[in-house]
Amino acid sequence: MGQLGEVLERHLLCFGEMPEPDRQAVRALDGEVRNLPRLQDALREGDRPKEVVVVLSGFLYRYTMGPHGARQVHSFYMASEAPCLETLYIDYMDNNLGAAVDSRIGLIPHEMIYRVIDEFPEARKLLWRQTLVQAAIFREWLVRNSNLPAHAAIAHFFCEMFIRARAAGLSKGDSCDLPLTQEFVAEALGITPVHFNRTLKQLRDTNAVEWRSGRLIISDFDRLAGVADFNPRYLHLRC
Amino acid sequence: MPRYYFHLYNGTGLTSDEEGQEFADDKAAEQAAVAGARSVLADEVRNGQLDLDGRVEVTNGDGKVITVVQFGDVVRVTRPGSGSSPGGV
Repeated sequence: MGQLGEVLERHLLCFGEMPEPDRQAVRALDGEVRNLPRLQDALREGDRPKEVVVVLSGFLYRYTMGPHGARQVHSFYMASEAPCLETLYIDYMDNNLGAAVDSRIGLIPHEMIYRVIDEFPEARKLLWRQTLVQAAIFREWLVRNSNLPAHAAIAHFFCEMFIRARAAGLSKGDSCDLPLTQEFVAEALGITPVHFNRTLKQLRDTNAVEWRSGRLIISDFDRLAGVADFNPRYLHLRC
Repeated sequence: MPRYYFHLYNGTGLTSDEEGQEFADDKAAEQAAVAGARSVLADEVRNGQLDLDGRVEVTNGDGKVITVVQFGDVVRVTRPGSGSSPGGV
């Protein structure tokens, strides 16, 4: 029984159920564990991955470099999440996956997962479902970035991160780790760090949320969700 | 790369920057301050207001002020009737 398989099993169970034989097959998956220092990439544009990545600790991010050297961050991944299951069926990376903080990742060979997909239909469904949920998250981020004013966009981001942390079993009461820099989050929201800092101060003044020293504390989730018009439906969580 | 801090003074008071950002040199940091000031103003305009009475102070790791970017200097404002509008189509 592999540690990586257990992490992936737990992650997939966030999106639905599977019978014991399927769970066992996922649990048995294993692979290499690697340290990924802050700002180092696990996968780069053009790479042809032979493994899927599971985050064991830390925080990963996906990004694309713009034509003028501007980095657009388009997703973050916390421990237990699997950032790029789509590499199973996509030939090459069209974006980059890196570590936002010192992280540890697991690499499960594609070949092992293909066998699970071939033989265990319920596990196959959840693997597919997970990648579809990733697409739903990208859609939501697009709408958030283009439609919401800065304070609502930040509130939305905080709500999503907290709900995902809770699903991953990483939250404690009304708080969870969010060890990202403001600069990173600003890049994900498409606003400047100066604007982000000013707007975060406004949000703090609502007393609904605090984000300091890498810890996110949401003392009034309903009020924060109201600011963001946040509805977690797009996360399709069942745990 | 050196770290710079961007402290914002405007109608909502002081927003101090505790985290900072790394830039190659003072010039790159100043450009970031200009972009930051513009983005704050743009958001105000989106909400139907514009307060040009503000500034971004850029400091280095020692707390020394490198440059001060005044809001009024980062946008060119054309007032109605000033004659510089391109006119009718």
